Amino acid sequence: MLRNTEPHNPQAVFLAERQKRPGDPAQAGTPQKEKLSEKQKRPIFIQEESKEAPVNHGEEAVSWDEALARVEGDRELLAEMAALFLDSGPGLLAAVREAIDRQDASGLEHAAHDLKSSVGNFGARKAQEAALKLEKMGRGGDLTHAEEAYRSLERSMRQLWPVLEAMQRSEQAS
Amino acid sequence: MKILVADDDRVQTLMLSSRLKEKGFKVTVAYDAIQAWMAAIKTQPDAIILDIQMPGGTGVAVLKQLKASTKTSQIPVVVLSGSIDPKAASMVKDLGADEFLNKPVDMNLLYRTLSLLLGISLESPEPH
Repeated sequence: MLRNTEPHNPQAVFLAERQKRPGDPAQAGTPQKEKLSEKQKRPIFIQEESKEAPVNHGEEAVSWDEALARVEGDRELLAEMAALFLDSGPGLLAAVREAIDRQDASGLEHAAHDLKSSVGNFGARKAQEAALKLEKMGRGGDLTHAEEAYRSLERSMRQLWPVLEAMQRSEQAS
Repeated sequence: MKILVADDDRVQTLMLSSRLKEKGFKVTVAYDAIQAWMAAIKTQPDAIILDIQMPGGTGVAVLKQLKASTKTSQIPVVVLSGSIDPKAASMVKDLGADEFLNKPVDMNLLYRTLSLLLGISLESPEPH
Protein backbone atom coordinates (compact mmCIF):
# COMPACT_ATOMS: atom_id res chain seq x y z
CA MET A 1 0.00 0.00 0.00
CA LEU A 2 1.40 3.37 -0.92
CA ARG A 3 1.74 5.93 1.83
CA ASN A 4 3.17 9.38 1.78
CA THR A 5 6.63 9.36 3.26
CA GLU A 6 7.14 13.01 4.04
CA PRO A 7 5.10 15.67 5.79
CA HIS A 8 2.85 17.38 3.34
CA ASN A 9 0.65 20.36 3.92
CA PRO A 10 -1.19 21.44 0.75
CA GLN A 11 -2.61 24.50 2.45
CA ALA A 12 0.85 25.73 3.41
CA VAL A 13 2.21 25.04 -0.07
CA PHE A 14 -0.55 26.99 -1.75
CA LEU A 15 -0.40 29.86 0.70
CA ALA A 16 3.37 30.10 0.22
CA GLU A 17 2.92 30.16 -3.54
CA ARG A 18 0.30 32.86 -3.29
CA GLN A 19 2.56 35.04 -1.21
CA LYS A 20 5.09 35.04 -4.04
CA ARG A 21 2.56 36.39 -6.48
CA PRO A 22 1.90 40.07 -7.06
CA GLY A 23 -1.64 41.31 -6.58
CA ASP A 24 -2.68 38.60 -4.14
CA PRO A 25 -6.47 38.55 -4.24
CA ALA A 26 -6.60 37.69 -0.57
CA GLN A 27 -5.01 41.06 0.13
CA ALA A 28 -6.80 42.94 -2.57
CA GLY A 29 -10.28 42.05 -1.36
CA THR A 30 -13.30 41.42 -3.55
CA PRO A 31 -13.45 42.55 -7.15
CA GLN A 32 -14.70 46.00 -8.02
CA LYS A 33 -18.40 46.23 -8.74
CA GLU A 34 -19.26 47.30 -12.23
CA LYS A 35 -21.51 46.44 -15.13
CA LEU A 36 -19.94 43.80 -17.30
CA SER A 37 -22.55 43.18 -19.92
CA GLU A 38 -20.58 44.77 -22.76
CA LYS A 39 -17.36 42.98 -22.11
CA GLN A 40 -16.13 40.41 -24.47
CA LYS A 41 -17.10 36.92 -23.47
CA ARG A 42 -13.63 35.49 -24.00
CA PRO A 43 -11.40 36.43 -21.07
CA ILE A 44 -8.13 38.12 -21.95
CA PHE A 45 -6.39 36.95 -18.82
CA ILE A 46 -5.50 33.60 -20.36
CA GLN A 47 -3.02 35.31 -22.67
CA GLU A 48 -1.90 37.67 -19.92
CA GLU A 49 -1.27 34.82 -17.54
CA SER A 50 0.93 32.98 -20.01
CA LYS A 51 3.42 35.87 -19.94
CA GLU A 52 4.01 35.76 -16.22
CA ALA A 53 3.20 32.24 -15.08
CA PRO A 54 5.80 29.53 -15.47
CA VAL A 55 3.47 27.43 -17.61
CA ASN A 56 0.38 28.32 -19.57
CA HIS A 57 -2.25 26.04 -18.10
CA GLY A 58 -5.23 28.28 -18.70
CA GLU A 59 -6.93 26.42 -21.49
CA GLU A 60 -6.35 23.04 -19.88
CA ALA A 61 -7.08 23.87 -16.27
CA VAL A 62 -10.41 25.61 -16.84
CA SER A 63 -13.10 25.49 -19.46
CA TRP A 64 -14.01 29.16 -19.64
CA ASP A 65 -16.88 28.58 -21.99
CA GLU A 66 -18.39 26.19 -19.51
CA ALA A 67 -17.63 28.33 -16.47
CA LEU A 68 -19.01 31.50 -18.05
CA ALA A 69 -22.08 29.72 -19.36
CA ARG A 70 -22.82 28.55 -15.85
CA VAL A 71 -22.86 32.13 -14.56
CA GLU A 72 -24.59 33.41 -17.69
CA GLY A 73 -21.56 35.40 -18.78
CA ASP A 74 -21.21 37.27 -15.50
CA ARG A 75 -17.43 37.56 -15.19
CA GLU A 76 -17.67 39.58 -12.02
CA LEU A 77 -19.56 36.76 -10.33
CA LEU A 78 -17.05 34.25 -11.66
CA ALA A 79 -14.24 36.31 -10.16
CA GLU A 80 -16.04 36.38 -6.80
CA MET A 81 -16.46 32.62 -6.98
CA ALA A 82 -12.76 32.31 -7.74
CA ALA A 83 -11.92 34.45 -4.72
CA LEU A 84 -14.00 32.17 -2.55
CA PHE A 85 -12.36 29.11 -3.98
CA LEU A 86 -8.88 30.56 -3.59
CA ASP A 87 -9.66 30.75 0.12
CA SER A 88 -11.43 27.44 0.55
CA GLY A 89 -9.60 25.29 -2.02
CA PRO A 90 -6.42 24.64 -0.01
CA GLY A 91 -8.52 23.48 2.94
CA LEU A 92 -10.52 21.15 0.73
CA LEU A 93 -7.35 19.69 -0.73
CA ALA A 94 -5.83 19.36 2.73
CA ALA A 95 -8.88 17.38 3.85
CA VAL A 96 -8.27 14.94 1.00
CA ARG A 97 -4.61 14.67 1.94
CA GLU A 98 -5.45 14.06 5.59
CA ALA A 99 -8.04 11.40 4.78
CA ILE A 100 -5.45 9.52 2.73
CA ASP A 101 -2.90 9.85 5.51
CA ARG A 102 -5.42 8.40 7.96
CA GLN A 103 -6.43 5.75 5.43
CA ASP A 104 -9.94 6.96 6.08
CA ALA A 105 -11.95 5.76 3.10
CA SER A 106 -15.21 7.42 4.10
CA GLY A 107 -13.42 10.66 4.89
CA LEU A 108 -11.70 10.52 1.53
CA GLU A 109 -14.99 9.96 -0.26
CA HIS A 110 -16.52 13.03 1.34
CA ALA A 111 -13.47 15.28 1.09
CA ALA A 112 -12.92 14.40 -2.55
CA HIS A 113 -16.61 14.90 -3.25
CA ASP A 114 -16.53 18.38 -1.75
CA LEU A 115 -13.51 19.35 -3.80
CA LYS A 116 -15.01 17.85 -6.94
CA SER A 117 -18.16 19.93 -6.46
CA SER A 118 -16.22 23.16 -6.00
CA VAL A 119 -13.90 22.78 -8.98
CA GLY A 120 -16.87 21.72 -11.08
CA ASN A 121 -18.13 25.29 -10.86
CA PHE A 122 -15.17 26.41 -12.97
CA GLY A 123 -15.35 23.67 -15.57
CA ALA A 124 -12.02 22.45 -14.21
CA ARG A 125 -12.26 19.04 -15.80
CA LYS A 126 -8.84 17.69 -14.87
CA ALA A 127 -9.23 18.54 -11.21
CA GLN A 128 -12.80 17.31 -11.26
CA GLU A 129 -11.81 13.96 -12.76
CA ALA A 130 -8.92 13.54 -10.35
CA ALA A 131 -11.20 14.27 -7.39
CA LEU A 132 -13.83 11.91 -8.75
CA LYS A 133 -11.25 9.16 -8.96
CA LEU A 134 -10.40 9.64 -5.30
CA GLU A 135 -14.06 9.85 -4.35
CA LYS A 136 -14.65 6.49 -6.01
CA MET A 137 -11.64 5.00 -4.24
CA GLY A 138 -13.03 6.20 -0.95
CA ARG A 139 -16.47 4.89 -1.73
CA GLY A 140 -15.02 1.52 -2.74
CA GLY A 141 -12.87 1.40 0.39
CA ASP A 142 -9.71 0.68 -1.59
CA LEU A 143 -7.04 3.34 -1.12
CA THR A 144 -4.24 1.30 -2.68
CA HIS A 145 -3.72 3.83 -5.49
CA ALA A 146 -4.87 6.89 -3.59
CA GLU A 147 -1.40 8.38 -3.33
CA GLU A 148 -0.94 8.36 -7.08
CA ALA A 149 -4.41 9.78 -7.64
CA TYR A 150 -3.74 12.47 -5.07
CA ARG A 151 -0.61 13.57 -6.89
CA SER A 152 -2.67 13.94 -10.04
CA LEU A 153 -5.26 15.97 -8.16
CA GLU A 154 -2.58 18.17 -6.65
CA ARG A 155 -1.05 18.82 -10.07
CA SER A 156 -4.44 19.83 -11.40
CA MET A 157 -4.98 22.16 -8.48
CA ARG A 158 -1.57 23.75 -9.00
CA GLN A 159 -2.59 24.45 -12.58
CA LEU A 160 -5.97 25.78 -11.60
CA TRP A 161 -4.68 28.09 -8.93
CA PRO A 162 -2.75 30.68 -11.00
CA VAL A 163 -5.47 30.70 -13.64
CA LEU A 164 -8.09 31.71 -11.11
CA GLU A 165 -5.75 34.27 -9.59
CA ALA A 166 -5.09 35.74 -13.01
CA MET A 167 -8.80 35.98 -13.67
CA GLN A 168 -9.25 37.84 -10.43
CA ARG A 169 -6.47 40.27 -11.25
CA SER A 170 -7.96 40.83 -14.66
CA GLU A 171 -11.37 41.60 -13.22
CA GLN A 172 -9.92 43.91 -10.60
CA ALA A 173 -7.95 45.79 -13.23
CA SER A 174 -10.84 46.18 -15.63
CA MET B 1 -40.70 34.83 -4.20
CA LYS B 2 -38.43 33.31 -1.60
CA ILE B 3 -35.90 30.56 -2.17
CA LEU B 4 -33.75 28.72 0.34
CA VAL B 5 -30.43 27.48 -1.01
CA ALA B 6 -28.87 24.85 1.25
CA ASP B 7 -25.40 23.73 0.30
CA ASP B 8 -22.08 23.60 2.14
CA ASP B 9 -20.18 24.53 -1.04
CA ARG B 10 -19.80 28.28 -0.71
CA VAL B 11 -18.74 28.72 -4.31
CA GLN B 12 -21.89 26.97 -5.40
CA THR B 13 -24.13 28.96 -3.05
CA LEU B 14 -22.59 32.22 -4.21
CA MET B 15 -23.34 31.34 -7.80
CA LEU B 16 -26.86 30.12 -7.13
CA SER B 17 -27.86 32.98 -4.87
CA SER B 18 -26.43 35.57 -7.23
CA ARG B 19 -28.19 34.18 -10.29
CA LEU B 20 -31.47 33.65 -8.47
CA LYS B 21 -31.39 37.19 -7.07
CA GLU B 22 -30.89 38.41 -10.62
CA LYS B 23 -34.10 36.59 -11.46
CA GLY B 24 -35.92 38.46 -8.73
CA PHE B 25 -35.92 35.91 -5.91
CA LYS B 26 -35.29 36.71 -2.30
CA VAL B 27 -32.62 34.17 -1.40
CA THR B 28 -31.70 32.71 1.97
CA VAL B 29 -28.58 30.56 2.21
CA ALA B 30 -27.84 27.73 4.63
CA TYR B 31 -24.49 26.01 4.81
CA ASP B 32 -25.36 22.89 6.75
CA ALA B 33 -28.28 20.63 7.50
CA ILE B 34 -29.28 22.24 10.77
CA GLN B 35 -29.20 25.75 9.32
CA ALA B 36 -31.23 24.49 6.39
CA TRP B 37 -33.94 23.07 8.58
CA MET B 38 -34.13 26.16 10.76
CA ALA B 39 -34.19 28.50 7.76
CA ALA B 40 -36.98 26.49 6.15
CA ILE B 41 -39.13 26.80 9.25
CA LYS B 42 -38.32 30.45 9.81
CA THR B 43 -38.52 31.83 6.29
CA GLN B 44 -41.15 29.50 4.80
CA PRO B 45 -39.63 29.72 1.31
CA ASP B 46 -41.55 29.08 -1.87
CA ALA B 47 -38.95 26.52 -2.88
CA ILE B 48 -35.85 24.88 -1.48
CA ILE B 49 -32.70 23.98 -3.37
CA LEU B 50 -31.01 21.33 -1.30
CA ASP B 51 -27.64 19.65 -1.57
CA ILE B 52 -28.01 16.16 -0.15
CA GLN B 53 -24.40 15.83 0.96
CA MET B 54 -23.89 18.40 3.67
CA PRO B 55 -22.20 18.30 7.07
CA GLY B 56 -24.14 18.75 10.30
CA GLY B 57 -26.45 15.84 9.61
CA THR B 58 -27.18 15.16 5.99
CA GLY B 59 -29.27 16.67 3.26
CA VAL B 60 -31.19 13.43 3.15
CA ALA B 61 -32.14 13.85 6.80
CA VAL B 62 -33.26 17.42 6.09
CA LEU B 63 -35.31 16.25 3.14
CA LYS B 64 -37.06 13.62 5.29
CA GLN B 65 -37.74 16.19 7.97
CA LEU B 66 -39.03 18.76 5.49
CA LYS B 67 -41.44 16.30 3.98
CA ALA B 68 -42.57 14.97 7.38
CA SER B 69 -43.38 18.36 8.92
CA THR B 70 -46.76 19.95 8.26
CA LYS B 71 -44.99 23.32 8.27
CA THR B 72 -42.77 22.46 5.32
CA SER B 73 -44.15 19.42 3.55
CA GLN B 74 -45.78 21.49 0.79
CA ILE B 75 -42.62 23.39 -0.11
CA PRO B 76 -41.14 22.09 -3.37
CA VAL B 77 -37.63 20.72 -2.92
CA VAL B 78 -35.09 20.54 -5.72
CA VAL B 79 -32.25 18.26 -4.72
CA LEU B 80 -28.77 18.92 -6.05
CA SER B 81 -26.12 16.27 -5.96
CA GLY B 82 -22.79 15.40 -7.42
CA SER B 83 -23.30 11.90 -6.13
CA ILE B 84 -21.70 9.01 -7.96
CA ASP B 85 -24.45 6.73 -6.68
CA PRO B 86 -26.69 5.94 -9.67
CA LYS B 87 -29.60 5.32 -7.31
CA ALA B 88 -29.40 8.78 -5.73
CA ALA B 89 -32.08 10.32 -7.94
CA SER B 90 -34.69 7.65 -7.34
CA MET B 91 -33.84 7.52 -3.64
CA VAL B 92 -34.45 11.24 -3.05
CA LYS B 93 -37.59 11.22 -5.18
CA ASP B 94 -38.90 8.36 -3.07
CA LEU B 95 -38.28 10.57 -0.07
CA GLY B 96 -40.43 13.31 -1.56
CA ALA B 97 -38.02 15.48 -3.50
CA ASP B 98 -39.75 17.20 -6.40
CA GLU B 99 -36.74 17.13 -8.69
CA PHE B 100 -33.16 15.89 -8.75
CA LEU B 101 -30.45 17.80 -10.60
CA ASN B 102 -26.83 16.85 -11.03
CA LYS B 103 -23.94 19.07 -10.03
CA PRO B 104 -22.46 21.18 -11.41
CA VAL B 105 -25.82 22.78 -11.92
CA ASP B 106 -27.11 23.60 -15.35
CA MET B 107 -28.77 26.95 -14.58
CA ASN B 108 -31.15 26.77 -17.52
CA LEU B 109 -32.37 23.42 -16.31
CA LEU B 110 -32.75 24.80 -12.81
CA TYR B 111 -34.76 27.76 -14.13
CA ARG B 112 -37.02 25.45 -16.08
CA THR B 113 -37.49 23.23 -13.03
CA LEU B 114 -38.34 26.17 -10.77
CA SER B 115 -40.67 27.61 -13.38
CA LEU B 116 -42.61 24.37 -13.49
CA LEU B 117 -42.68 23.87 -9.73
CA LEU B 118 -43.66 27.45 -8.93
CA GLY B 119 -45.89 28.12 -11.91
CA ILE B 120 -43.91 31.16 -12.98
CA SER B 121 -41.83 32.26 -15.91
CA LEU B 122 -38.29 32.96 -14.88
CA GLU B 123 -37.93 35.50 -17.64
CA SER B 124 -40.16 37.70 -15.50
CA PRO B 125 -40.46 36.37 -11.93
CA GLU B 126 -42.52 38.30 -9.44
CA PRO B 127 -40.31 39.40 -6.61
CA HIS B 128 -41.91 40.14 -3.26
